[in-house]
Amino acid sequence: MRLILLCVALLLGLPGRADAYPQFQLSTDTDRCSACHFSPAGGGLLNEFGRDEAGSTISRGGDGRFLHGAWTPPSWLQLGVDTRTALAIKSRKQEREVLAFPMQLDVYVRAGGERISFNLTAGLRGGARDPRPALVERLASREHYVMYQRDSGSYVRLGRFFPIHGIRSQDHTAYVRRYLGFHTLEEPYGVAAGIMEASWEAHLSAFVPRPVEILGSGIKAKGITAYYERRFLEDTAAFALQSKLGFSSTDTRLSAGIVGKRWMPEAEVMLLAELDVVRQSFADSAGPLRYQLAAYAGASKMVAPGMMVGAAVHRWQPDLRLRTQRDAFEVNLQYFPLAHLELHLLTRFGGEGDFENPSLLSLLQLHYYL
Amino acid sequence: MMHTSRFVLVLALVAGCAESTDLPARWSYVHAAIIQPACTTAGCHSALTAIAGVNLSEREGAYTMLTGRICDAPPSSIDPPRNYVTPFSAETSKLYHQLVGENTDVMPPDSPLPEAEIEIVARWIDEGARCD
Repeated sequence: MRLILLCVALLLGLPGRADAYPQFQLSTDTDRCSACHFSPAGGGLLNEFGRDEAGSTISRGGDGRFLHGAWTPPSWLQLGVDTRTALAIKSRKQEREVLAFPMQLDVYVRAGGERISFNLTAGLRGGARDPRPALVERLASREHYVMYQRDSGSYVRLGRFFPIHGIRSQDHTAYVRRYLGFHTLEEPYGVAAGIMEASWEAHLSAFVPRPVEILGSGIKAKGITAYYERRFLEDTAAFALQSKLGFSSTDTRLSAGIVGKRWMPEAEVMLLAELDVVRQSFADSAGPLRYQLAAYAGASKMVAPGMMVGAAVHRWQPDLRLRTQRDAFEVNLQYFPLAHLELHLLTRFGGEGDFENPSLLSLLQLHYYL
Repeated sequence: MMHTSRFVLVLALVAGCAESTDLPARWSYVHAAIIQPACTTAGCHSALTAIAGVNLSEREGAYTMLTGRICDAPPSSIDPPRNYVTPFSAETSKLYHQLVGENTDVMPPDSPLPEAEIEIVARWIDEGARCD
């Protein structure tokens, strides 16, 4: 209890984001994101099964229920809280920077029945270099939508949310998120529908920009996304095709991508990979057509109860003709000492092609959720 | 299948066959292709956060912020109030030094620009930093 109070005291009033842990799909006998999350895209509020897993398979133990089981909300209401704070050390060439900053304070509310629900994620936005504006200016709601869902998991939803696209890593700085329109607070408004079947799922979303500029950030575009995932080899492998078309006042982007997921039961290693190619054309003949590439490949393994190690590579090529790119290599150490608590140490080397002068980021996160 | 082959062929043709000097050093391109995707994330120079008072999310506003001048207004002999850019001189422009990380924190801090994109920004400045 003292540990909980200490965590709450450390984290209260701190702001940012958290998303799904795609490493756990397939590797924990779950075939889809919505096995553990209420959202069909994963991330955010955990459902009953997800909370059970948090206290058993994933961590070293504990009660994963809301408030550690001290109070159970009525059946029509599900609540949750996510908090993260971080300590970062960055170095590049001879320069070094140390940052301690709040990443996330989000409250999740889901109200309704099994069929129809209202879902809200609201909190205080974080930021490593935020000049700490007044509290009211930090308020943000990343997601708010109404959803109709069938027993199979198939759904229709309307409101603000990220369309289902790509590997929804909790790391919003992963290049496939950072550069493809899935960075923090870049959620558009839209309508989406998805079909969930035993061995496949398909999602289609139409989106429009946020109506008020200060509701978020990123390029204001309207368009559609499509995602189709098929699982095979007794749900130990998945392959997905995806596409996104977005129109903004300055450009049009058409992307096509593939996602691969593979759980290797013998080695107990989870593999995740994504590759996207973007065709970008500029409005008013501002520049020539260009093709971009974003890629991610990673592996993770639970080496002991509650202890996960992983490694990943990222690539971003803003213009394939220029033979210029950003690459990153990272190692992750994630420790889940008990349900509700996570310590995450990320160490990332970044470089332009040859890694001659690599940048180094070491980020230690303390993640606590209710 | 035909479409896939054509797509791969186009990719092969466009990959690695241009220099940054082949690309336009125009503000409309610099903003849309470089500044906006790299600088206007939630925690940085978006309208939402505007770190250091710098909002680069819109083309005209970002131009004024960086040069101190209004798009399409005639050149002025008075130094602009926000001298991130000194027209015709990338070497003396704060923006350029921030992008390369010389004697100052590099921008963007999370993922510095590739050299080729910095070169385009430098060329835009050296050619007068016009709002074209």
